[in-house]
Amino acid sequence: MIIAALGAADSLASQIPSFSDRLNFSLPLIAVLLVVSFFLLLKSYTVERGGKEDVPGRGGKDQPG
Amino acid sequence: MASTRRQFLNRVLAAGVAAISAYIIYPVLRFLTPPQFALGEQETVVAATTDELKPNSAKFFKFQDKPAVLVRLPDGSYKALSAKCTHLGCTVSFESRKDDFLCECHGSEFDLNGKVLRGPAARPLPVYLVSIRGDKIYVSAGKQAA
Amino acid sequence: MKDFFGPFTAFIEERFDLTPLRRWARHKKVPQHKHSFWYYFGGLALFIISLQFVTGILMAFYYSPTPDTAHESVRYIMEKVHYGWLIRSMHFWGANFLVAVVLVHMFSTYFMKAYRKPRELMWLIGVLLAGLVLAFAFTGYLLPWTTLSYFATKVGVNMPMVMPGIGGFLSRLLAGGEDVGAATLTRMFTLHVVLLPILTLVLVTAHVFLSQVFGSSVPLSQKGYSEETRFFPTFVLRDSAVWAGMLAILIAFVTIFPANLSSKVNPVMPAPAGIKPEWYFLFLFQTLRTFPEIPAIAAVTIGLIIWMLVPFLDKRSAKGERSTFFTLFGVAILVYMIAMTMMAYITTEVH
Repeated sequence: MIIAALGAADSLASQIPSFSDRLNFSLPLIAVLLVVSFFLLLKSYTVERGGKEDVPGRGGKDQPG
Repeated sequence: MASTRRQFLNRVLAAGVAAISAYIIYPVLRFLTPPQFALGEQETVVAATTDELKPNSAKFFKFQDKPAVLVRLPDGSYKALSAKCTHLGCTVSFESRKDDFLCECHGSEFDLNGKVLRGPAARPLPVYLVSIRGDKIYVSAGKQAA
Repeated sequence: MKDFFGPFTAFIEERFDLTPLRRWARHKKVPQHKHSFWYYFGGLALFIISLQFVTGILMAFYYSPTPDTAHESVRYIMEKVHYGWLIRSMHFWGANFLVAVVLVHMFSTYFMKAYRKPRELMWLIGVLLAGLVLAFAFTGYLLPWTTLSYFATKVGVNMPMVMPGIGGFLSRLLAGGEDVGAATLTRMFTLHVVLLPILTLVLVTAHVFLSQVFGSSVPLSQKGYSEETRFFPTFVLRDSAVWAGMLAILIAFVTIFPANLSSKVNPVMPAPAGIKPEWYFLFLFQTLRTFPEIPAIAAVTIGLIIWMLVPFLDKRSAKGERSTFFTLFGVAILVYMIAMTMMAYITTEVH
């Protein structure tokens, strides 16, 4: 069944989505990941500068101070 | 008294556990070892027909579950050898220009008698017996001086 | 957020005492000094391993491990299955990055002498895990059943042959028969998707558990460090930032260089010209091309055993003294690996 669905053996390159199609999928994801990464880093510095005696919150939601 | 009794009990238990472990591990190990079939020293295959190979060319075929090669020399005679490199088991290729076998994996070279021309391989390629009956070329694993 | 999880947390807290866990989370600190950068690689390896589990499980829904269907089912994943190219390319690049990250993690902990007492077992488990990662790479390589993977596996299963006595047995055990074939494919598949993942789960758990028990090791040169960051939330936030960045890099690689699939193997035909393994096995490949196989494999095996036993051999760093000899030993191994890898690139290029 699987084999019947396949074309000629050397057609792989033409069968997977084109570069621009792949980019359309990836670019938004990469952008969001980089933004999230940046804000995680930013947050890590703000919580570190905040009161050290504070009990760190569960889920990292509550801002100390 | 109590302590020797306890020691005795512990030893019996340890021996029992060891025996059970061995009893379980042995069949598992045997299970994982693939069964070995006698391949037959004299097994013979038809490697090619007499009109198949031009002089100075080679044909690869399976012999005793391993790759083998049949070469037709420029003078028309045939040679059959194991094509499994004695270094680490890649299949050698036939180089018609140099009349030798080259293993592309690690660069070993062998001459048409299987002798090592260049390392890292240390042992020669096994040579098989070739016999022609009618238009068929038979290859067998009989003893033949390399 | 708090309201959302509130009932759930209350349910747990009514049944389990979470105070020790809270106290642990509050007090856990990460040393902060000029080599703290290297602390991120262990977590990064953990992250990529999780990715490999996800993409691997997904591919197992379509992959079929027989010589007649293996190559075809991988092509099917790449060409027909929705986002198949994405999942397989993620697995491919994930494997490459995982090997790289694990190597960096291993060598950085080595040079910081993080293996010294009391972390000997952590080092030992870590080296075993690095071996498992390479075993994953080796077993997974055969699964697409390409010419390249076929001969790579042949070389691999023939290597134990040089061992006197049990070599032939070990080789047959790995190959499942006289030569690489259908039985080998089933074996590599079972190792890759059943046995190695279970071992990895167990050892990763032990490794992470020990890292929580001992905390991060501080290099001898940084003994007088003065700063600490909290593990929760600071270090966890930075770890997550690194992970998100890693995922972005992986997606970029997958998009620009999707995994390819070379031609299916014909088991009778000779090894193709210019055949060579993936980059992480090149130093081994070059070693095998340069030296006779018995000394070569024996030397690599002995080197590996010494590498594993370093925490027990290095008595000076255990006492908190500098141990230049073991630093040099590490440098020598690193230089050898890099030199052999470069030589492999140069000599195969000329070929």
